[in-house]
Amino acid sequence: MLLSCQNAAWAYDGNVAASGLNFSVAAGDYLCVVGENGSGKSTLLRGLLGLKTPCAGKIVYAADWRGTDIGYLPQQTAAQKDFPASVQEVVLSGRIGRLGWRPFYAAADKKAALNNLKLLGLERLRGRCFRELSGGQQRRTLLARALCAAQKLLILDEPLSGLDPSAAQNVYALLQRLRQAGLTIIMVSHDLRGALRQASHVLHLQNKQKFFGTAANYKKWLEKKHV
Amino acid sequence: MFDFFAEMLSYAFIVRALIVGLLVSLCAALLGVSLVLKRYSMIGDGLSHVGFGALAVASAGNAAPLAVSVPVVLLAAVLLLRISENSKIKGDAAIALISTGALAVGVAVISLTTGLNTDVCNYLFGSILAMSKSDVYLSVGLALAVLILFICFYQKIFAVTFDENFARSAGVQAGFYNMLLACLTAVTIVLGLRMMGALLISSLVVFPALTAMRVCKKFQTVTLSAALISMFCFLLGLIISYIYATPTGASVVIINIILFLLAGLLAWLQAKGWLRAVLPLLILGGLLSAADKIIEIKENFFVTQTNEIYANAPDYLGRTLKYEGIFSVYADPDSGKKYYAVIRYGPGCCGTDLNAGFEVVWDKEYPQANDWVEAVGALEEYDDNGIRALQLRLTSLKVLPVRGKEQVLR
Repeated sequence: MLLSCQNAAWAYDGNVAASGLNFSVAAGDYLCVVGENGSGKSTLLRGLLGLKTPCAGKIVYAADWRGTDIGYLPQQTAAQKDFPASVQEVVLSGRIGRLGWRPFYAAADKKAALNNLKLLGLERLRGRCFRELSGGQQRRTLLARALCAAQKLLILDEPLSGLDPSAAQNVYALLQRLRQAGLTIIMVSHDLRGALRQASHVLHLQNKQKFFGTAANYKKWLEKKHV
Repeated sequence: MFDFFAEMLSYAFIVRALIVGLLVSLCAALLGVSLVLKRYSMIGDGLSHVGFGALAVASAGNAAPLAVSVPVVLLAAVLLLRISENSKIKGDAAIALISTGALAVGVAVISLTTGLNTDVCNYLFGSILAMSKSDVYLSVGLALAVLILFICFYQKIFAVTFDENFARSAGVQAGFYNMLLACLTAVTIVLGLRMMGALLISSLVVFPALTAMRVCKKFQTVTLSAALISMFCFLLGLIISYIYATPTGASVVIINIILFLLAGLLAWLQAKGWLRAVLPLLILGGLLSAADKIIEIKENFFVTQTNEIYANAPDYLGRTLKYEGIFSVYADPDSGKKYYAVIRYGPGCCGTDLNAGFEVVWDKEYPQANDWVEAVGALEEYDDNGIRALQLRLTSLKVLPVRGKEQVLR
């Protein structure tokens, strides 16, 4: 088991955004978090990342857990729209967790960044300015940065938003490969069909936990609900 | 040019202002990039007002100005960040509260003690005379500390500036780096406060960063060019303030504004695809303006330069020459015609057989022969009884009291 939520809940200014969460993620799992807008998905991710402490319950991590092993793909922030930074600089900053007290990145960090740039087909764009890229290219840049950081766990907040269908397919294929390489993936997605094809587990949120189980069971649960 | 700088740097207070100013500009620009991108630009403004209040209180109590204001402004920086992060009062409102509050306290303290006088004006708008020797030592030490901390934590500051949530998720103590940024800013602001003025110091934080961001696309190049731009503007501002006796702070800010506008123009030209035309146009413009310029014949290569003009006369026809020499008159024994010239005695074996200079014509009254004069005039060609000769049609002929070298060898 990598981490488990035990009756955890999170609130903003006293308004509960997500509560009653009981689930666990094992190493190698591919968990897809689904639910409508405002159902607490992003809040849950922030909680798992340790950016927000739960107001009730707790999260238990594996014994050998280090916070720096997570790669995180956030939703776009407004400040990044006019930020002067090259693709290379952004992707390299994914290694920040491993910088420690060193002032600058080593050759190994640069190599890792380059590998991830290649993996996402961004090699030719690496000298370009981040703010001048298309939405899809920016998304892929941030994904490359997340991969630079991810040792064990990849947490993705809507990785497919802004991607055209073929780029989305590429990302799915990439995630599949990463999972086979031993990475655990937790992802928030609106693309239910694509997610169900790949995910091993599904968590359905509507401010409360509506369903947690394997993808196969989730299909059955959905059918039963409609009947 | 060199003499000018030597003269300027012979004033100890200008040297002090230069050292502290360059360091403060450097630090402010480096920090400014992150502050602007994090939407923290107004923190600089707020802190400078707090600094004003602290200085006022320090001078009322006869305390060392920097020793009092550094800790007070540091405290204000911590407070500002805490308020804007945690409470219901939003960042900009918090800054307005603290800065006007400190300003009010400062003004009240001053009017109770010394009264509103030129000192207050200097605090608000800056004075080049502000730095004492001990201030310089303290400033250099603090500025170097700011610089070293910035370089050591550059990558983390970048990560936190670009995406705070990501940096936090990767285990970076984003809160600590925000605090560090605010504290380094506080120190920088206080150091530059009395020279630039409380109302103007925050421009050092904002302008270079914005200028650099208009033309550069990488964080690293933005940071480096902001630092260079900032130091250049300060240097130029200081020189202008020295020449025209304008307040240093205002001069620096005006140079910054000009550069900011130029950068905007450059970015616009780049967007329209005209950027590549800028350099050739500048060179062309330079050549054209050089073509119009007065050619000055200096003492050092007097013979060489006059020879060059005689040898390539067609290139120089119509150009304005300016030089000093001996005014001399020569009457031709055959025709009785008088020739006037401004010359120096050149190298030769028989006294004056190789005089360097030009024949001159002047429609006003000529000076005495052998007077030392400065001649300015356009070179022209005329026909002197079948011989083509060169002469200067003078626009100015001044008799100078101090004579230069009459004998020139090269």
